[in-house]
Amino acid sequence: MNRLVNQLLHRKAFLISLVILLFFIFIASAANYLTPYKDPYTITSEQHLAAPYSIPIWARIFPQYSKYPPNTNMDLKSPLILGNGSESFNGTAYTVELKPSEYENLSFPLSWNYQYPYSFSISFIAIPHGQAAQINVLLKQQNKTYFLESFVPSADQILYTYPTCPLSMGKTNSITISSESLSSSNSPYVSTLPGNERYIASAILPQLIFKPGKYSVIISIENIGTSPLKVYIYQPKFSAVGRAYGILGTDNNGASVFAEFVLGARFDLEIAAIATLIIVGIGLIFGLVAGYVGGKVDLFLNALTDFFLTIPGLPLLITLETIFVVSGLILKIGIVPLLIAIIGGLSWMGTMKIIRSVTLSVRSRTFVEASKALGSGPFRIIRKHVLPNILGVVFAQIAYDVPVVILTESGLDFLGLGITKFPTWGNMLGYASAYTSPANGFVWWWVLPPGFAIIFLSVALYFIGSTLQDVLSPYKVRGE
Amino acid sequence: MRFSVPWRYLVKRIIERIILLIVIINFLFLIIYIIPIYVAHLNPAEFYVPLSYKGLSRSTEVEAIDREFGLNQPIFVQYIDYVKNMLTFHFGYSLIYDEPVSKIILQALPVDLIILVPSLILSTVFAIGLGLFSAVRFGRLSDSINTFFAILTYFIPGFWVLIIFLQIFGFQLGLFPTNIAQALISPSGAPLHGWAYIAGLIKFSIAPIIILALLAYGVRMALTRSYGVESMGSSYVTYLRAKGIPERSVVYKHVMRNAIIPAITRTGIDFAFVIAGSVFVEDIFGFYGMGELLYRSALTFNVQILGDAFYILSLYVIVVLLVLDFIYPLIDPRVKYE
Repeated sequence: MNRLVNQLLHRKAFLISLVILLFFIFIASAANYLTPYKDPYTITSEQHLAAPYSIPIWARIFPQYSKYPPNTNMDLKSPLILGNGSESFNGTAYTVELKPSEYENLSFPLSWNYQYPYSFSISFIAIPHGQAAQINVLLKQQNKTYFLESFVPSADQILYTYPTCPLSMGKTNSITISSESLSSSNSPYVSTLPGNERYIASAILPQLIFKPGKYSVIISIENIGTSPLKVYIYQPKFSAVGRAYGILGTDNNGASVFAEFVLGARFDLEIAAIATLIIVGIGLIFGLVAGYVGGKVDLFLNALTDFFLTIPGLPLLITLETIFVVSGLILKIGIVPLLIAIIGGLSWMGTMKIIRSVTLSVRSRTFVEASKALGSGPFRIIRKHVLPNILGVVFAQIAYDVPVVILTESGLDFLGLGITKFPTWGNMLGYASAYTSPANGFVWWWVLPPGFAIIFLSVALYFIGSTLQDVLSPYKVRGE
Repeated sequence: MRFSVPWRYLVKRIIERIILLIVIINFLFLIIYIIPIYVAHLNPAEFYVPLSYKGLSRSTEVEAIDREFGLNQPIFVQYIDYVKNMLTFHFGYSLIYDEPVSKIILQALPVDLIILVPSLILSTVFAIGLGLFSAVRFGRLSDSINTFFAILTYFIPGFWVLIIFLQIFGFQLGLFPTNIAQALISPSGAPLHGWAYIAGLIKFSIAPIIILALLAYGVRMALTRSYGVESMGSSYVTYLRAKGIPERSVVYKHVMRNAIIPAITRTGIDFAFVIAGSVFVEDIFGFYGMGELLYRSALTFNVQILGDAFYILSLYVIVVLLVLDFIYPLIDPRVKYE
C-alpha cells in the first residue's frame, strides 16, 4: 500500500490533477457555507443583489472597470449645519427646533469615488412635532443641486408649484428616496428634466447625478406653520446598488454568479457520481460476464453493446427525454432521476468493451487455469483473480466516465432540454448565451467559469484515471 | 495481388446491419407507440395535431388523424404499418409544419454537409499532421505539449467555445455574420445569387468549420501518434535507416502510410456520426440542418418529426458504417474478412 501511495505521489500530473479535483470537491461540498443562497433561479429574493451584469469586485483592477461602484451602504454622519434655527445631536437623533419661518439645513458629506451606480437611495426617519413642516431632500455637488423630493403635510401640498410628497405631523415618517421610485409626479428635479428623459428618469437618474467627486446629502427643514416646530431626524443613510459584485459578478437577474457556480458544481458532481456508478456498474457486470463466460453470452452482450454504440447518442437522448416529457411520465419520476437514468443507461458501452477485453486477457492467463484446476468456482475466480487484476482499469473507467456525464448533462442543460429550474454549469452557459446580446457586451465572468470548470475537472480526472490504471495494473494492461 | 470478392463476409455484414435497422425500427415503435399508449395512456394522435389547424376543434382533428393514420387500429396492424412506412420512407404529412415530413427532412439534410464534411476533412488533416509531428518527436517536450492539447480537446465543450467565439468575433467585433440568414443577404437586404451567394456561404461557414475541426482532431491525433510511434520503433524502419534512406523519406514515405490508417478508419466512423453531433453548432450558428430539426422538434414536442428524423439519422449511420465495412479492407489489406 505504501509503495502504491509513493508511486502515485511521485507523478506530477497526478498531484496537480488531484489538487484540482479536491478543489472542486471542496467547493461542491462546502457550497452551503460558501454562499448563503439556495437557488438563485427560482427564489426572487436571491436576485437583484446588484445591477444585472455586474462585474466581479476584483475585476476593478482592470483600467476599464476601475471606477465601477460596489454596493454601498453607509450611515450619513457629522453634518454641516446651516440655518437660523437651533440644532442638537444626542448620539442617535438630530433634534431641530425652529420658530415660524426659520429653517435649518443638515448637510451630510458624501464622497463618491466611482462612476454612476445602478440605483441609489437616501433614507431617514423624521418625527415632526408642531403645526406644519417642510422637509426637503437634496443632493449637491459643488454648484449643482438636485432637488430630489419635498415633504409637506398633505393639507399644504396644494400650495406648491412643484411636486411634493405627504408628511404626517406628530407621527413617525419613514422616508426613503430611491432613484427607482423617483418620477415627475414626486420629484421636483425629475419634473424639470426634458420630456423624454422624464419618462426613463428612474433608470438614468444615477447616470445624470453621479460622477466621481464630493457630494453632500442635504436634509433641509423649514417651519412653514405659525407655531414653534420640533423635528427629530433618526438614522440618515445613503445606499447605492453597485455595478460590481462578489467574486464572479452577477447574471441578467442580478443574482450572484458565484452562488450559481458553486451550487452548479455541487449538483454536477452529484449527478456525475451517481450516473458514473450506473455506467461502471453496467459496464463492469456486462464486461465481466461477457469476457469470463464467453461463447453465446459473449456474442449476445457484444451485439447488444454494438447496437447501443451504433445508435446516434445525443439524438437518442433527446428523443427519449422528449417522449418521457410528452407522455407525462416525467411527472412520476422527476427530471433528475430521468436524466441520470438516460445518461447512465446510454453511456456504458465503452466501459463494457474495455472491461470485456481486459477480462478476456486475464482469463486466459495460467494462474486462472491453475485456480480452475484446484476446483474454484467462477465467482471465486472472478473475485480472487480477475477483479484484482482489472481494478486499475475499473478505477480509470470511473475517472473517465465522470467527464462524459458532466459534458452530456451540461450539453442537455445548455440546449434547455435538461434541468432548467436550478443552476448547473450547463444551465449557466445556456442562459449566458441566451441573455447576452451585443448591447451588454461579452459577459466573461458569467460565460468563462463554467466552461473552464468543466475542462479543468475533466482533464484532471483524465490524468487521475490514467495514473491509477498505470499504477494499479499488475500486468501492463495498457500495452506499453 | 489477386483480389477476390468475399461474398460470405459481405452477406454477413449486410444481414447484421439489416437486423440492426429492424431493431431500431422496433425500438422507435416501442417509444413512440407502446410507451405512450400502454404506460402513459395517451393517444399518439395527440402528438400529430397542432393546437389549431384550419379552424377545426382538437377532438375532430384527433379523430381524423386516428382514421387517416390508422391509429384506431389494433396495435399489431399499426406495427406492421409502421415498419412498412419506415422501410418505404412514407413518413406522412406534418400538420404542424403543413408539409410532408420527407420534404422537411430532405431540406434539412444537405445543410449539414456544408459545414460538417469540410470540418471533418480539416480535422483529419490536423490530426495526421500533428500526430506525425508528435510521433517523430516522441518523448520530447514538444510532443508532450502537443499531446496535452490533443487530450484537452476531448473535454472542451464545443458549445462553450462556439458561443464565446460568436459573442466576441460575431457580435462584438462584427467580423463575420452571426447567422445564415444574415450571411445570405446583401447589405441592402436583397437575397444574394450566384457567386455572391457562395461567397456569403463560405464566409459564414469558415469559422464553425475551423472551430469544429480544432475540437475534433484529438482522438485521431492520438491514434496517429501511437501508431506512428509504434511504426518508428519497428524493424523495417531500422532497416530503412540502416540502408541510408533519409529520415524525411522514412517518415513521410513509409511510417506515414502505416500510421495514418487508424486515423482514416476513425474518420469514417466519425463521418457516420457527424450529423448526430451537429445539434450544438447548428443551434448556435442558427442554420437549419438535421440536428436543429431534431432539437426544434424536441423543444416543441413534435414527436412525429422527432421519430422520423431519428430514424433517418440512424439509417444514415448504418449505411455509412456498411459502406465502411466494404472500404476498410481496400485501405488496409491486413484487415481480414472473417
